[in-house]
Amino acid sequence: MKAYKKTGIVLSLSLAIFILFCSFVGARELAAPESLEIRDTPSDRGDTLLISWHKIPQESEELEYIIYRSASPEGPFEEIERFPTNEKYASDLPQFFGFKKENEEFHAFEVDPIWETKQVKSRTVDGEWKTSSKKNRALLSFYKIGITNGETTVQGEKIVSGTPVQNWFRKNRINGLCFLVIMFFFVLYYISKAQRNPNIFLRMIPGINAVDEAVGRATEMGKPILYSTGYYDISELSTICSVNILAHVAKKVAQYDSRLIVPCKWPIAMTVCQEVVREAYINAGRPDAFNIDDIFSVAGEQFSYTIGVDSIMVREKPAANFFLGTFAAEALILAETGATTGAIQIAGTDSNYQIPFFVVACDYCLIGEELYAASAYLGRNPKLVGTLKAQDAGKLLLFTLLIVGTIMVTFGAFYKDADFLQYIRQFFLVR
Amino acid sequence: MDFFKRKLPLVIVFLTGVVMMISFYVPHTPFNQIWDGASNWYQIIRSFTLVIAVVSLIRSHYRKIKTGKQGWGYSGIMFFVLIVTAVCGIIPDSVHPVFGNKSGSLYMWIFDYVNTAAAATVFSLLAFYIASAAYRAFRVRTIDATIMLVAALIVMIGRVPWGEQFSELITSRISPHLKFLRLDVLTSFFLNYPTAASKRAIYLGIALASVSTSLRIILGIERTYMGGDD
Amino acid sequence: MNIKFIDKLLKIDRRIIFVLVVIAIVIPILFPLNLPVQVTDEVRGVFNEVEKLPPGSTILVAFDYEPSTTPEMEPMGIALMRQCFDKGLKVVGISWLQQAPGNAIKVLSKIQGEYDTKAAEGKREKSLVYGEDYAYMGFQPGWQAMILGIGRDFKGTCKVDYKGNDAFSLPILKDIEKLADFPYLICLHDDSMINHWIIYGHEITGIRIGSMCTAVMAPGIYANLNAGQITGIVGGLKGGSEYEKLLKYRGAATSGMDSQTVIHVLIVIFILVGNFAYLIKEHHLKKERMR
Repeated sequence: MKAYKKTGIVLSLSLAIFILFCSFVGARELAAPESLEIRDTPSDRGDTLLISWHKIPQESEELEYIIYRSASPEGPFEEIERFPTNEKYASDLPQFFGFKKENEEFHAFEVDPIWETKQVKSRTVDGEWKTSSKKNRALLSFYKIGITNGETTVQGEKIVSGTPVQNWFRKNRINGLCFLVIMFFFVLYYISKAQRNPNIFLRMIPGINAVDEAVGRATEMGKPILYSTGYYDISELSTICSVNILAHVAKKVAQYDSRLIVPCKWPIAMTVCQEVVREAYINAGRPDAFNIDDIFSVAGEQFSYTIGVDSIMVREKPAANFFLGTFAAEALILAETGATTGAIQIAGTDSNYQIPFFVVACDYCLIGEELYAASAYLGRNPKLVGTLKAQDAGKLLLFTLLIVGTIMVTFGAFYKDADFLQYIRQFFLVR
Repeated sequence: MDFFKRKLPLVIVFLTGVVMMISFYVPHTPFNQIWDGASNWYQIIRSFTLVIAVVSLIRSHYRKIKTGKQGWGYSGIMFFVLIVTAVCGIIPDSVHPVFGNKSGSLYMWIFDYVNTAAAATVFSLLAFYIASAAYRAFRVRTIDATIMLVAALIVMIGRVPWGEQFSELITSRISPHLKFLRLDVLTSFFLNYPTAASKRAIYLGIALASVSTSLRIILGIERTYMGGDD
Repeated sequence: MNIKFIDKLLKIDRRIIFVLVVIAIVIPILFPLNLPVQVTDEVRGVFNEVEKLPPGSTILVAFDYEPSTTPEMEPMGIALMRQCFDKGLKVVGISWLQQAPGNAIKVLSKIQGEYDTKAAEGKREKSLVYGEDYAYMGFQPGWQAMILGIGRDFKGTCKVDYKGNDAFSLPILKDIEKLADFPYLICLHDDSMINHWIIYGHEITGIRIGSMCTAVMAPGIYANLNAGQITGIVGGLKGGSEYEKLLKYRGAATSGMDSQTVIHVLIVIFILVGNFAYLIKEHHLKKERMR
């Protein structure tokens, strides 16, 4: 009997110790991290703060971190964010923390501060005045971390505070700035080089060489030339380049006493085209031959414009069609209709999606940057030729970086902890 | 006069370009406010270009009707449709349910059954033109053309159910090791690798050309947008 | 083979080709083939991203396609809306094309009608409520400037929705301050606006993006997919049919695949016939020259 009693007591004590141990472990699982830190988010306009804390051993997707915020250290704290404990590591924010291996050991999260708001009056579509709140300035905000398993929530003791600060420079964009500065110096250098030596070699672009042929053909046949500057307005670079080429084509047309029709989609592009063609005719000594009605706005909508240009091609039967600029789905419709009229067609676009259609349906096609290079190629202006060479130099630089980067990434697998590799990788990050 | 027509626009472009470049890299006040303000200005100016578009359209079609040019009747139809659509869209539906831009209004009816139908019809012309262009242009004239032809055939057949079934029949069913020869797998390969690589190369070139052209415009080397040469 | 016949074949009247194209498209519509559709990884990239969002999440949908591409894009838009609302997600729409709002309103009205019917039949607890389950901010001008603006301050940039309601008064936008507050953006586009959403949206704010586009645009976006800038591509009618298959229903996109299959085969036949005729002609000319 005594033995049974002893066994019972031992068992009860063991059970009690086991329960205490489990509850202790359970309580340990729900201990909120105390290594909370806060800093201003770098390279921003003072919108957010970065809080970070070391990860705890018991992290899993069943547990969740909760971020609390308050206007004062005494509270009340409100929940602003929650996520599973196995998410949101510093390695997810390489633009702030880089690519160091230790970034996987702590969490980081961008938090909004408390904002002082101001009332702003604005007018609605109905004409009524409505007052709404707008952010004025960020206030000192207090944060703490909690952890929950769905049933129990434990809030951390440590409270951190901060106010976001506007930064003077976006360090994460320094790679772009470096490249821009390099390109700037390339442009200046090659312009001065082109001015000293105007006979810089430029690869032949077949489409551009065919411009003379096309205008001559149209003059012989006594038919007009059609020129389209594309889908976008003058604010797009491709339209500006197209207008550059239009100036050369217009000069040739004026010299050969042919007719140039320029249907435009946008009114501002139309106005610029009118001025460019007028000046080309004046420079060719034929101001009387300029007809402003031949440069007109067809329609602002894509397919209305397409049908308008198609009907011009079918009625007027131009001998040469120029489609230079950015085009969308109307590319093939224009090119095929032009092909049915028997015209020689020269197209050029920076629109990746339409290049295949122009290649198939047109006699000549300028692909991508050839459109941008065409104005330099035609005019041989030293400034334009110089910038074209600067582009090539920039491309050579990019190729070199690509090759060097590929080699570094390949060998970087063997040197994961090398800091300099991580710095280089962070330098080229775009965010 | 030459200063206002030639020099002042260049100064404005230069200053705007430089300030916007600085604002892109400096988030501090006042540059962030300049950036926001410029974005808002750009939105407003873009909206006003729509007004210019309508005014230009009205002017050119009015001139056509006035001079009695060929096709002036269509210009009349254009005016009629313009006025009806604008009136129906601007008047709120509180006046009458036929107005406004909610579903069931005249404005939406014009959009659904005139605009959408006409635009979709013109867009569907592409199907016919692609067929005739494919017949005319896809010829094995050179090695490059042959490669393009073979790739086009593989992608065209690989993207449709019959192609997937047919290629599965002659590859995977014979041996699982031949799966890589399935047309849909080859199509995916073409789209993910050669096509993506060539697109990236073209994008790189266009991006560099955009940087150069933008620098030319900001520095005043490129002046075509003003409507003339040097 | 008679060389005159070959010449005629090479210079065949386009109208004959057009008639054959019409026949190839119309017959499968009248007599459906019910062809099976296989789902690709690119489409799963968008579908799974939406599936893994918890109910109650708010996604941003950019309706950026013009009326001309409605037959190709609308089935995708409808499929996406059905997936979102069946999962209990909320949808905020926005457009930066002037012509796009009509398409967006059409899709949203259609879905609203569908869910009203479902609620009336008892298949759903309640129908969709504008402002709570979905909202549409209408046409927002400014292109890139608009994206930069909403990247910083969504409600301040949009100001009002397409009905004129103050953006700050919409319950669905209560927790939305900026673009990064949306867990996912899906761009329904028929042009290259996805590039601007990537440059000014994803690269600056980190928002994850999915692309639903026309078939012409899809090949150009693979570079972005491989670079991890977008999660997936739903391209053209084929992509739409794959999306419908994932949602286990047969919609307009799947029906359209029958015609697309036949027309693809027809174009392949055209190409083969054209090349056959071309090679015969070349062989004949070579023989003539050697004589």
